Amino acid sequence: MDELLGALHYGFIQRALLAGIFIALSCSSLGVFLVLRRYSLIGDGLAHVAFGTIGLGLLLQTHPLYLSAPLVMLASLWISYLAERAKIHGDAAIGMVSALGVSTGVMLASVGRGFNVDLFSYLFGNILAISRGEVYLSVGLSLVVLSVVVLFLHDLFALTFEEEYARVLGIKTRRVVQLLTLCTALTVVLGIRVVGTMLVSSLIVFPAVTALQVARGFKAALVVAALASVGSVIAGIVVSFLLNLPTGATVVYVNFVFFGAAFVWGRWRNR
Amino acid sequence: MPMKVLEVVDLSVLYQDVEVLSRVSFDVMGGDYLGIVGPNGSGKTTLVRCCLGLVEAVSGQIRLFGTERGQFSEWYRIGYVPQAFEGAQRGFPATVGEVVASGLLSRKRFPKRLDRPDAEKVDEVLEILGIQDLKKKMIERLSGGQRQRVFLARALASDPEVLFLDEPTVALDPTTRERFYETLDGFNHKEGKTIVIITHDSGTIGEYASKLLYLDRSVVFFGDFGQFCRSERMTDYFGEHAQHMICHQHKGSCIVG
Repeated sequence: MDELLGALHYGFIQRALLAGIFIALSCSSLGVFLVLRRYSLIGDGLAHVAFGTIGLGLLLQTHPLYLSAPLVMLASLWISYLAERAKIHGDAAIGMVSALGVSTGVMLASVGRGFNVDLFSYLFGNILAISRGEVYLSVGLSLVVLSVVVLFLHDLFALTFEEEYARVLGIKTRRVVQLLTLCTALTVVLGIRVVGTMLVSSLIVFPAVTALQVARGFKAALVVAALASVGSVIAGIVVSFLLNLPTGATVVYVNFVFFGAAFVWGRWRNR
Repeated sequence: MPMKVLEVVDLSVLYQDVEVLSRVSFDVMGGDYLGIVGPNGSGKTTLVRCCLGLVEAVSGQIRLFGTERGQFSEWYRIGYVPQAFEGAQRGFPATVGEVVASGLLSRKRFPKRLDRPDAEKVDEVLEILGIQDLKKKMIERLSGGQRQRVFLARALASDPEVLFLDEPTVALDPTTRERFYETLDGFNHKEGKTIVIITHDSGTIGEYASKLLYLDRSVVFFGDFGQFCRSERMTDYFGEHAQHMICHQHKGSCIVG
């Protein structure tokens, strides 16, 4: 216990927790909509794109996240465009764009030989190394994402439940979906700091599916997902620090434990 | 003089280069109860979806309450009960109350918030349809009949002037189906709501609807049930037996055979 309290006194742990909690909230709130729209793999696809844009950032010697945010947002719109206009199913569009992203990263790593190590450090993230500036950026952008979710909550609910009906309600569904996609891109870029490009989609998917096991109502699902997400990031950071484990992987394991518990509880309750 | 709720003029719709609706024209006046009937693949659902802006037409015009559909923005005047797909919302964590409340969004402007009067409205429509006890139930756990009533409640939440229903009774047992039709009849007769319903219950719809649109990619018949039953052209088209099946239950005006 003393060790645990001692850990909380470290500045880098405090920074990791602050940024992690806000990023977790963004991921979980978007995750519920994405999972229910069967679009959860967009997080994975965009993370692969981010891998490429981080490579570009390192090559150009700018901060990778500054460059990644706008480029991944553009890629997210491109995925929507392909899925909508080019008669390509959403999963295939994600597959195409993500493969291009990873290829770009590998190409750039090959061109600028010096930064291979840096690029690969982004694969699994390291939130304990987050700087003060990155914390401000993460909190600020997370607040933007959360504001969008709050302001468009009812529209997002309606279009997730039944998109065509939402149109008959006069909701501009295409615009709201684009907004959701852009927010997802932003959240993926932020999530890379916590768990890395390889695992960022877990932050989006796990809390949502955990919530779906037990929640009785849509607002309840959002709240349970938020609790699971924030809980897993806090527990992941603290446990990984205490046991000297990789933080990103620990967060994913905690998420898995939460999911398992929710699954068992949900089944037991519905017996 | 009742106003025109819906005007469809020379409407044609293509699906993958095949004409699924050809030069369809008809009007729906305020207070009408229109039954849209026709064989499978005759374009009934496409027609209603096109009227609501969910399908694009290649030619023709649609006006809702006198406004071109593309410019129409008063969606709260329209209630829609789409075709039910078994399992469409499987695993969706929404309560009946949340689903019905979403029907109020057509009356809201950004930033949309649902407040106490909205909650009261949800209670009111649930009570009208006799499903108050379902309010906190999860939508995925309901039977087909209960779910249809919930979707009707959602459509009614915004106090619409016209209800479009796409085969709402398809999953219902005969007793529940009869009750559903009686409920709609009440909305039409007591509250003056206009009803446009797609149905396969061609033998039942004549009991309730005042007008019939028989569709088979183009309009085979449009008019009052009485006219349909007396039409020799329809006797030639359907044969006496089928014509009688469609109109024999109709109150009053049918004289066949």
